[in-house]
Amino acid sequence: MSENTVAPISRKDLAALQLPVLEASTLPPDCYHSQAAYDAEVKHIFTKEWNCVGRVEDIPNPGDYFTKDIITEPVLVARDGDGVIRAMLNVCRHRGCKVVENAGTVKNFKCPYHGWLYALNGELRGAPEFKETVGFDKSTFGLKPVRCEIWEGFIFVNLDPEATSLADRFSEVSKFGFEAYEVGTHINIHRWRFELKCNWKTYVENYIEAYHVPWVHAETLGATAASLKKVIYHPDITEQQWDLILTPGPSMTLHPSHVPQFRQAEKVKQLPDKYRGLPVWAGYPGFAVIPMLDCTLWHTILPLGPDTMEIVVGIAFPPETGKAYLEGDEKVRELCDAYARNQEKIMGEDNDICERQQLGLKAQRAAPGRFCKHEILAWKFDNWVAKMAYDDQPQGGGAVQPARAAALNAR
Amino acid sequence: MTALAVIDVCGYVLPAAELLYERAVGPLRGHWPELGDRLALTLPTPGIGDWNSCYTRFVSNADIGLAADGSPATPSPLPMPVAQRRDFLEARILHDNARGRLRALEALGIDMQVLHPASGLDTLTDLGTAAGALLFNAYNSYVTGYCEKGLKQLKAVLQLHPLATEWAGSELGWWGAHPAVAGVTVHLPASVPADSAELAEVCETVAKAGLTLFHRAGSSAASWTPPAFLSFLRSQKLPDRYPDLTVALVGWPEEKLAEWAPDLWQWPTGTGRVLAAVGSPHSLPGRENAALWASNFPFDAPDLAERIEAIRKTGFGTAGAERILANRMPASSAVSPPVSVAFSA
Repeated sequence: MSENTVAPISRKDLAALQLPVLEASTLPPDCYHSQAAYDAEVKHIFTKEWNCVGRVEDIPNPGDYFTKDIITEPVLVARDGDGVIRAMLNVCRHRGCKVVENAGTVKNFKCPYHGWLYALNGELRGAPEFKETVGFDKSTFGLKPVRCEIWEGFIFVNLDPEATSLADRFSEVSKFGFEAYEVGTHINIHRWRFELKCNWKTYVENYIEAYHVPWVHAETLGATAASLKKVIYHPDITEQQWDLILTPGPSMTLHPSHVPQFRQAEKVKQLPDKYRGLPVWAGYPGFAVIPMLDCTLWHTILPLGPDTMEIVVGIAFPPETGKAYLEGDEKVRELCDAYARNQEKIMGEDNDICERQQLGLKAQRAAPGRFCKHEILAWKFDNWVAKMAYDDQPQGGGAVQPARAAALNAR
Repeated sequence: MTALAVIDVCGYVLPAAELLYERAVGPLRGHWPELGDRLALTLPTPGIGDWNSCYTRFVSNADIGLAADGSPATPSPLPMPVAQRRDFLEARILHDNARGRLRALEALGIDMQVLHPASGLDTLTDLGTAAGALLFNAYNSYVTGYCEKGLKQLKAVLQLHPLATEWAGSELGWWGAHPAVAGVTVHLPASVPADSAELAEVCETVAKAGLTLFHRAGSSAASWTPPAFLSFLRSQKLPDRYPDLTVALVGWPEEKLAEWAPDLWQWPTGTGRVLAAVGSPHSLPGRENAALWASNFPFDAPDLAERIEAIRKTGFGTAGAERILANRMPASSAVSPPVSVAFSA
């Protein structure tokens, strides 16, 4: 590696990215499709940071479980008999077989290879024919625990035992009115999963700027697009790994009529004007939640390779609505499905544009671009990625150059 | 004055289903998922308890409901039976902490305890013959292993399926001569008719082995009262053909024993006897010498310490209970491992 290169980005490109947002250049296109960039991001970001893997209502009862691969690491998330949700590595401690697949309800986890039996909390409960194995202690051969925390009904896992707790990471969110939306009580009723032919960063950058909205979502979000110039970005409100982008004004619903069809959280009406509107809360690397008047939209993103990614999108409703939906209330189902269809159109627009961007980024002569004022969070995010994964400086989770961001806001 | 031995013929273990799985032979482990509907999660018991994290245990058919879609639904997590709340009781003595039980028995002053399976295992005869027999085999493996931690203090009662005739022979051949074994219980569900040829064959296998038959309330349907079972044995002429056959009645209400008394003690002359486990020998008026002591440990027994003290001073009913509980099956009779059976749950 040359002295002028900080794999997988040159020092020159890194320096250009680190300039103040209106002077900075974007990440070089290589970072969106090179194996080196991908490997660095997996090593320094996705195996070190908190990744959202689902909602608590996905596993409502003791014995319910689901599996999720965090890149190469198979993870198992289960609700134990005492109601506690835990995560563990989905790898048998005997000879490494993947223990379970998909999702379901069980009393124990049984490895299909030699029948090792694990409790819902991962303790090894049955190791047949091991009585004679010298020094074998079942208590030391449970499934490897994976850190797991619940935040507002979302289940997060972290493969790094030393990582800062998620609760600490999100501790300041309440200052900005998030809790008013009662997201933690909502019940998810629709979920979509897409494998897209684009780098994961393209999608994250997409949902932390409103610059694209008037063009990409002209048909679906026309009214919102008109207020683009009012959008407020909050790059400096926290040293933690999340950001807030807010379109001020009356809060939004996903119903095509733009009129909420379900109960609205009372506390939202009491929010100060500066926090009322359409907030997008982005938790890095791949989580976003968009609380609305009568529903919650959320995204989780994981890379599948240098130029492929998975996005899971969910829509959740207040508990009485979610319950009625799940119980088959025809009227509620019809209304909720209208929300979902509207969201499908919006998602389709974002999915298409990100895949289209990827095609351009792979061009041999593609070069770094520039940021406008509406892309300050994209600039901040790109700097965070570079700092975490590419830079040879000490790793850290703090905001990148908050002083520069503050200077920008003062302009 | 020499202190008398305190022998308790009714203590309990309740192994988690996972332990039975581990002890099971291959066919049962391979078919374990088919038993999923019969397993319920257990809640850990905070503080002094028996299982300090969630395990699974077997439940009876009666406890299995129907889900909205008509599929079987096992109960929500069940609380575990709470053992006596005594400072010296360690967690999991019902399950796998045999050394903890030994320490508890020593602290209490119990010199020997005979172990029976607590509720949960009693229902396994609801399963098909093969599955039930395989599970009892796993239990027998478990309980003898548990007792190996203290062969002088802990005694096992093997469990047999009433219809698995071939299996019973090989099971006794495999486990019967184990030094921990004090006797055998043949499970008696309501589905076993009063003239069952299979049951007769299984009971004869036990009698032939010279092992005490423990007729326990928890493993018997309501129709299989002690009088009914003893009548069955007599009808098969087992006490005549095996004069040293001893039957121990365990877990039956003392007032019922008094009610049944006329039918209980008719036993041919021989070394064999009918004995009954009770809390006090006075529960069997006129038959005090047929009384064995039952503590029900580790389940609730508020006056346990006082009762133990009294037994140590004055003895309890049957003299020489140790001899009754001694395994008279010759070690040389151990045969091949249990026969294989086709699994059907």
